[in-house]
Amino acid sequence: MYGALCRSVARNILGSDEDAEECLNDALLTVWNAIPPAKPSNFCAYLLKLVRNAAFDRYKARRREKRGGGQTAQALDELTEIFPSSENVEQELEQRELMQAVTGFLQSLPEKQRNLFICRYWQSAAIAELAARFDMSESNVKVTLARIRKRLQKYLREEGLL
Amino acid sequence: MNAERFMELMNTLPDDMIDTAVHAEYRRRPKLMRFLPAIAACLVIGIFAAVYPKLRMQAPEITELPAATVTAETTAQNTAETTAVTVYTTAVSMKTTHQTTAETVSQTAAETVTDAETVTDAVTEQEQVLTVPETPIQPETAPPPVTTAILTVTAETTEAPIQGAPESFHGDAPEEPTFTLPVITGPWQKENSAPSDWPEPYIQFYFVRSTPDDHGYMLDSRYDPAHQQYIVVKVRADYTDAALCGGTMTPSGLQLHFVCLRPPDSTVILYYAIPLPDGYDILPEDCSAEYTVANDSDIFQKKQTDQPMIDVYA
Repeated sequence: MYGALCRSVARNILGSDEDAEECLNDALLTVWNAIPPAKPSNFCAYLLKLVRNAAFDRYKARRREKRGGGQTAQALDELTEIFPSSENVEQELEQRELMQAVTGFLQSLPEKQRNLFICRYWQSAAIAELAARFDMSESNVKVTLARIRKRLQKYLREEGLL
Repeated sequence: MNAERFMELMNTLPDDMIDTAVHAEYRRRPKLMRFLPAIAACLVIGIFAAVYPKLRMQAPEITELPAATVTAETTAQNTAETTAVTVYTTAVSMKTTHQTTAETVSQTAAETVTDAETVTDAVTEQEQVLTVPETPIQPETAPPPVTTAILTVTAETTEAPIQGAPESFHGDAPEEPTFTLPVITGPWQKENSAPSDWPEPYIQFYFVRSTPDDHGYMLDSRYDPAHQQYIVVKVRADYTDAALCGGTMTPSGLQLHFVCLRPPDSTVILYYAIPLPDGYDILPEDCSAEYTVANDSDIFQKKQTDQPMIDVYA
């Protein structure tokens, strides 16, 4: 039921259908082992998060092998303007505070912009795909994402999280 | 924190937010939907273009009544002292949306021309509010003969014997009229404009059967309540001036006589309303008119009467 969506998330991160298929299988095995006792309220989001975690694990493993690719690398490059280096790594508590602030920021955005941001930086969807899904031109998608990133950076600085 | 770590942490976003985002679709409208406003606009313009001419045709005015056909025949007679020119104008048909049935008007006209060259330019409008005899007069038996054919009138070189009662244009009247009927002269529209590009002096008569309820033809106040039916005649003459001298009416027809003043340097449009007594159910096609052209303004003034009267025969 959610196979295509999970496959697309994994493929966007890894850039490979085979790797995406393997990630999906790993995620399904995790779900099989976790349910029960886990009772996710939103099974789709639960499954997608498992697939995404599996894809990121595989991505990091491949990166270590210097075999990176796909949309994730581009998305990471775009986010480096907000998070330039790994020297600012804070403790996990600060990271949770940061993500709470990010969540609040996303909730303050218009629905279309929020969905666009999440699809780009959570789902790692390609610009062309976003342009088609959101009825926008590719340049318009890029400009909109740049403005959201700039507002997020300003917001996090005002909150003292950057 | 680096960007990669941030992307990993984004997995902590609320489930509903992620679920909504990954299922979000903002599809374009179908192409047909995009063209719907243009299609609707075209339809509105088309309908308006089709209806607008019909709307314009409503509420006609008598000044816009079209003349369908006009034929003219001119004959000239030369004598030692005078020159007579007879012009016959026939078959003027018209159709108005104001009336339920089309009315065909035929008319005859005879023009007599003298050789005098006196020209008078001054034209004054006539304005009269007249009353019609209150008691309708029933037509009597043994109707006198009525001349309906086109007549040729000899030219005039001397003063016309018009004083008071209008001149009879049918030759010798067989008997005295049963009664006379005043004509309502229309001052509401008398137009003088440049003459039309017509090879000969041009004159037209339009006859319309009208009632006091027919707004637009005449002022209501000018109608006599005793008469519910009128014949409204519109005269369009390419002359300096024109006027109704009189006429005759029988139960079967109405004939009017007009006088025009040379030269034909302008166009005069006049309106007259002739009340129809009971028993005189005259239709526009039963009406005819003839006219005399005067070269001298004095002759015109003598023929022109302040109160045109219609001789009514039983």
